[in-house]
Amino acid sequence: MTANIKRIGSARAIDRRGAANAGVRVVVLAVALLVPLYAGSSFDLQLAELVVIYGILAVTARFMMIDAGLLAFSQIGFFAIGSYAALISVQDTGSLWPGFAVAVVGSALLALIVALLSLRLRGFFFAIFTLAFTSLVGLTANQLSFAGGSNGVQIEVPTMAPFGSLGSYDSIYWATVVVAAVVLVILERLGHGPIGLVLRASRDNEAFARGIGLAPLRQRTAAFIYCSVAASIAGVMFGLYFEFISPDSVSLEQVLLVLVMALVGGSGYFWAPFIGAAVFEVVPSLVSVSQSVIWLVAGALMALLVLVAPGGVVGLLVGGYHRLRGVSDGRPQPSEGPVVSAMDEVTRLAGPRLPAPGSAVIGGNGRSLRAEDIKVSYGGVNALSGVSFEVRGGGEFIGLVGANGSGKTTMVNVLSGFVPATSGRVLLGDTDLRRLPPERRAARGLVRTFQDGAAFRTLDIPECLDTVTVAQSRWALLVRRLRRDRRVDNVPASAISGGARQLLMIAMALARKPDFVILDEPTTALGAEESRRVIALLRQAKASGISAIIIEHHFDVVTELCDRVCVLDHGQLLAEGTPAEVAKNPSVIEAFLGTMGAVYDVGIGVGQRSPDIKLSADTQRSPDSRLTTDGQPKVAP
Amino acid sequence: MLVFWQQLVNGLVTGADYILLALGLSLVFGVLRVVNFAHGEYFMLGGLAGYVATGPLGLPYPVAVLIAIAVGALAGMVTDIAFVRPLRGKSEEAVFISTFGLSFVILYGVDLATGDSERSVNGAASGSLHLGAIIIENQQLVTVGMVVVAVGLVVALLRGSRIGTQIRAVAQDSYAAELVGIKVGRVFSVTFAIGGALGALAGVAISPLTSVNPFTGQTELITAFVIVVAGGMASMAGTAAVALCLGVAEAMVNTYLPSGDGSYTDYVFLVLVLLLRPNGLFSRSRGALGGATSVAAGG
Repeated sequence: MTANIKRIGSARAIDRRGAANAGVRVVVLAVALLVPLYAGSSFDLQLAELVVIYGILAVTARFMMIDAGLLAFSQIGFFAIGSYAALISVQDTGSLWPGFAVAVVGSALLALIVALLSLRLRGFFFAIFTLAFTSLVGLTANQLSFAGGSNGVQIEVPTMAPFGSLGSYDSIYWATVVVAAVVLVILERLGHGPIGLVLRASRDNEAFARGIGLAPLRQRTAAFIYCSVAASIAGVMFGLYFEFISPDSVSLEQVLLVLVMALVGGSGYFWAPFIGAAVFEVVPSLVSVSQSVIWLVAGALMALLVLVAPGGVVGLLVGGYHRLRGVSDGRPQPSEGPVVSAMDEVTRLAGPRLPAPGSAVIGGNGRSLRAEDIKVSYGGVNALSGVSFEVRGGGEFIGLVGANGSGKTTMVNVLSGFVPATSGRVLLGDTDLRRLPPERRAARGLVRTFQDGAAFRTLDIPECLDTVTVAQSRWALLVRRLRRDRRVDNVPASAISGGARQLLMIAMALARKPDFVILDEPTTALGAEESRRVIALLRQAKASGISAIIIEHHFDVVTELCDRVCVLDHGQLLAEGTPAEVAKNPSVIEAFLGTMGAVYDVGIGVGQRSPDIKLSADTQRSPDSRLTTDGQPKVAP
Repeated sequence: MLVFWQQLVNGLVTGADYILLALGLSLVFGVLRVVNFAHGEYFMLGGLAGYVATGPLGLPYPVAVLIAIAVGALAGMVTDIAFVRPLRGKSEEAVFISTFGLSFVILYGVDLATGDSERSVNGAASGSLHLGAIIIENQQLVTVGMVVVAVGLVVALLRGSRIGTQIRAVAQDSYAAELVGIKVGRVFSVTFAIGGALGALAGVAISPLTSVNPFTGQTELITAFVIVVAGGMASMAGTAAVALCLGVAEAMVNTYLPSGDGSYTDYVFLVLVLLLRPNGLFSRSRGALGGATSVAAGG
């Protein structure tokens, strides 16, 4: 089965990406080390120094943008803070270290403040706020007299500590290379570890990440602080080498420059921004055009990169190489692998992580999940008007059914913490969950999956399951590298079938070992075989004492899995009982069938996108309620 | 006290102009859910069109205003078709990046074509009105009049026209709008054209009172962001209130603080808003877009 998965094209693409990235890293280090040997003039070394400094800025900017999903315009602001701190410190105290300390600690604090203010909001707030931050740094530098006002700071560095007589351009260059290598290699390691995993998972699907208990805010804040401090240190090295900084260095043009460098090399490659840095430092020094032309080209290139060549230079090289070798371009080709193999893979890898049947730990600890008089209104429209029900811990399955628009999804959004209730309480045992965000509810044993099962697009199956481990233990995995299963290729979740993805999502939620799991349409849009596997997994969960709330349109699935059914209609609880009772309930039938005398089957919620419960008219007469699930209303008996 | 009243008047005029500037940005956000980093450049293009029309071409100011509107609408439409539409369905960051790149293309294209210098624009009216000791320039009245007319026209367009209804429908739910047969792509382009026209109008309306150079767009972009964020994304009343406050605050800071830099008020506003009301000061109020205000899921 593993062999089948190996055929999926994107696996090769990711392997190639790893190889290309390793190649870029070797080239970057080699060039950085060789340049001083061959530098014909101080001008050459100066260029190399600039490439390394802007490389730090661009690599960290790319990391934030691509891996963490944070578009930060603040790198130049922190860069300037570092330069100013270093130069003012050398000027006023004769020593670099006070300034270095200010650069690191001050930048970390400022980054923390920016993160606290803007990171918990939606993406554009962060982008706008970081852009404003950079402008504010420039504006402030212009005003401060000890920072030289609009003239900036200009001093002689070579006599300065800590380098003393070693304070030559050569030694500063070497120091810069070492600093860059240390800072960036650590970042690359972090990116491969649990922090990177959480960042990528929550970038791919933030809601589901929070649903299983990942709290990306913490990791994003950490990544932002780290990258900001790195930019500040790059600024320190710039100040030492060029002995000058002024408010003019803090411009939107510089912001643009860093972002173009970050993208030009190839957005998917950690070290590729050095290619961008080299291009934008070396080329302008070789051609004689006005600065305006350079900015014009940089702006155009920036837009073009996003629009037509997201792979950048390395992407084009890798693509070209493989075209020459006659290999396919390796884009994800979901149809290549048989459906079942990916599902087997999920089952095999998730198996050991799932709670064992009848395990003593699980069982809800005697708790139940209660919704008390939940009301939700969106601007005058009542999505839910006073719904109460209870799910007992220890393996009770509740089916939540109703036509589209009846309030099912709103209900589970309230339960899992994605939508605040206008009034009413959600209680887990004795704990009122009202103020807890989804990830904290997950930590207390209430997790959820989503209907459009995208899982984590770019993570492979083992990585997806690893995110659960990260969600469970905060510290253990910080040191230990995540366990890699070398037997499987890196098939991203986006390349496996919809059924396998849904199975994977549910397996992840269950691997969290929750007391309660909320499942939003687990079998919608799945084939018969896929549904069977999902149902089997849910049976296993039930046997191990996990309780569930299932939104489900297929009534046979509800009958098969659920102990009780809650029927929602127009935001109210219409009926509650065993599946058989509910199917017979006159008010349910009346609400869904309209007239009692219907002689043919009518789909509940006719014309909706997904097949709804089909109650056949003979339910009134026959106790063994026949329910059709084929989604096709039978027009005549 | 006289200085205060005089600065209040000047600040209100600037603030009124900011309404136009921010309205364009907020309209585009409300309908497309896209933050346009090139919006400041429409302002610059508008002012520049005003200069070219009234200066070298010798046309009267009202004609210059029409030209500026046309230039802004065209720029907005090009932004949508070439820089935003190809990225639909990709991450919102992709649009930030492409429009951020575009803003430099416009800025340095203009810089290379015309050079970096301050230029003045001849307005429609000279002379001034004296209210006691307070001087109100006639051009200030013209500027405010243009703002009032333009805002009125936009509201009328959104509320009372076929395309306006379509725009509001797309703002509420573009998927549903597409299902009922609205050509969503066309609505997006029209919205961008209106947004661009409003930005350019803001530029040409204030240009006789200030001056025009290729770099004004960068500061105006941040001002527009602050107003839109503080006013509650896509809330028209909030946008207007914050714009007026910001205009007055800038004038006061420039006047009363030693070596005061009015741009500081932008950032103070931004920080205060993010601290106090992260969804915008007026996030409860629903603007002309019928509550396009987005609510972030979760806590």
